Amino acid sequence: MLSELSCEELLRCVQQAKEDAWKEFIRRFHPVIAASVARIVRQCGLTEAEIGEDLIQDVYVKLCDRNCRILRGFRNDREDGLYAFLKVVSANIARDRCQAVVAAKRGGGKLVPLSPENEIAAEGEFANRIAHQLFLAKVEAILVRPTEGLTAVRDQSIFWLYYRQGWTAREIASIAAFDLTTKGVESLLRRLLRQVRLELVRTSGEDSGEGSGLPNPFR
Amino acid sequence: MPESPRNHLTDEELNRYVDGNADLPLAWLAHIQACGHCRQKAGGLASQQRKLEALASAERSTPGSACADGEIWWRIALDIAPADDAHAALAHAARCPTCARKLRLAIEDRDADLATQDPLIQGLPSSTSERMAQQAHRLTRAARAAAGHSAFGWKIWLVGAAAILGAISGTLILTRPTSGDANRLLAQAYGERRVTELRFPGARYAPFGQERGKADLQSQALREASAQIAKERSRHPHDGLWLQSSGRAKLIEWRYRDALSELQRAEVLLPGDPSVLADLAAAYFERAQAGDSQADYQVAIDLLSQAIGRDTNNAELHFNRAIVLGYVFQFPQAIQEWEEFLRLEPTGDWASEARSRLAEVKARGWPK
Repeated sequence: MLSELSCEELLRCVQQAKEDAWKEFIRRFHPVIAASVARIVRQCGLTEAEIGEDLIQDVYVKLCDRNCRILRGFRNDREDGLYAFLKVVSANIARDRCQAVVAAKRGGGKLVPLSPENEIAAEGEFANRIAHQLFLAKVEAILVRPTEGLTAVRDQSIFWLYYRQGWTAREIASIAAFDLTTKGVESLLRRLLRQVRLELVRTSGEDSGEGSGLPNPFR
Repeated sequence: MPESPRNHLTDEELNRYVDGNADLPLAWLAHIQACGHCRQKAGGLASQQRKLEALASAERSTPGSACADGEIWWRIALDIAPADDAHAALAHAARCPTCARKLRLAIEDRDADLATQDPLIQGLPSSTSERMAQQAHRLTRAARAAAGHSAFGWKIWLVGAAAILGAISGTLILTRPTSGDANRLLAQAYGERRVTELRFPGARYAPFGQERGKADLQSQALREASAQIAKERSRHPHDGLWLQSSGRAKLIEWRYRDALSELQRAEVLLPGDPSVLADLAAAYFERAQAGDSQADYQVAIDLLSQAIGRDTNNAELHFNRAIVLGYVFQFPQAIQEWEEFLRLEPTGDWASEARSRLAEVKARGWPK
């Protein structure tokens, strides 16, 4: 019985282009594909049902694409693993398409040219784009020392995700490749911050200003 | 308290003070109050902390050539990316707002609670059991067709699959011209009058001429392709392959602004497709030629490099990158590229032109 096949077995049959396997695949996973697409359609502010229908077809086409390339790349025999996989893949495909639809509706699709007008002007702590870039380069160089060893690349990524991209320690810890808990991320950030901050003071000679009322994530 | 160096707080103690730890000994606090040296140092630490915290708001989203393709982000979110690829991509995303955003969206998608009872879904025809069975039948046919025709390339299959799926709405796409037909006409038009130094996909050799974009010089093939494209574009406004064909037609007409617009949209719909990246590079090349912009030449090189990364043995891509490299004075790289092209395509008219250009770059250090 196809309904008793494991995910891995079902996917193997689907890749062999067996119609009953596709029926079973759609029976099991159409709800998650459709719900994931619907979520993105709503997020993009689109309400037309036809768009949702087209996007679902796009997802199936993509899943069939190049001899089921995406499905062949899936390795996990747990039903919830495939469920999560299809949820993310469907959302990703739907978002790409929705953004194109929204851009077309706005008459967009134009790249913002790189020009001096788009450079950041004086903003917050930085006098201009150059000051911002110089500071980044300085911290990048400083980070090399406290992040030596096998985990150097990982530790630097975590530091920059937090400080440049504004991610929370929890969000960072949710990436399994980092293999750290939220507490672990916080502890690493605290260690790196202290070393970077001291080195910045040493190398910049800047020691002006009163230490006052700092927002600090580790209080 | 006297300001004796012996009594100054250590770096670690000052760090803890700046972190705002609540359990600091009162003696430290009293010292900082009284000691100008330590207060000043703490102020310096605080100032650097403020700068670090201001970094996120100063980041600007400017996608670059080093940006990875979209799939890696959901693979990382799902923990199914190879470890080395994941760490390399994460190192990039940590420094690139565009990619960090894509990764964050993939994580949001992974963690989202889905409303499977969404009325939007319930009302869709594809959610009925009858349509699901039809869908399974179509997908099986598409998968079998793909397996049987893989030698023709995935894009042709994709058009076929799209045609099969198009039957849902009762439309028989298979009887209509495909974007592949239009592309063949465009390649023919290019072969009749080569308006750009870059090679056009699938086109036969033609010597390079300088007559650009003159309506009265339009070939019958170009007019025919343009008519097909206009008709199908109105039917399928969000079809990446037709957008690509439309962009190619504009390239032949030397309408690089329109070509850029069309091809950028095609790139969104067909992310990472090497042929779209190559067409986009051609559009930047034309704009560079029109405005003599070194930055546009560089963008073209970056795009061609991305395309070559995905389609390593495509001689046309190497030919085009060799041409553009010459325009940014990267002569050693241009020489290397011509040699690589000649390794891939050692005979024929294109190879003759390549040899001549290679000799010129070597002799004069400047492309034809």
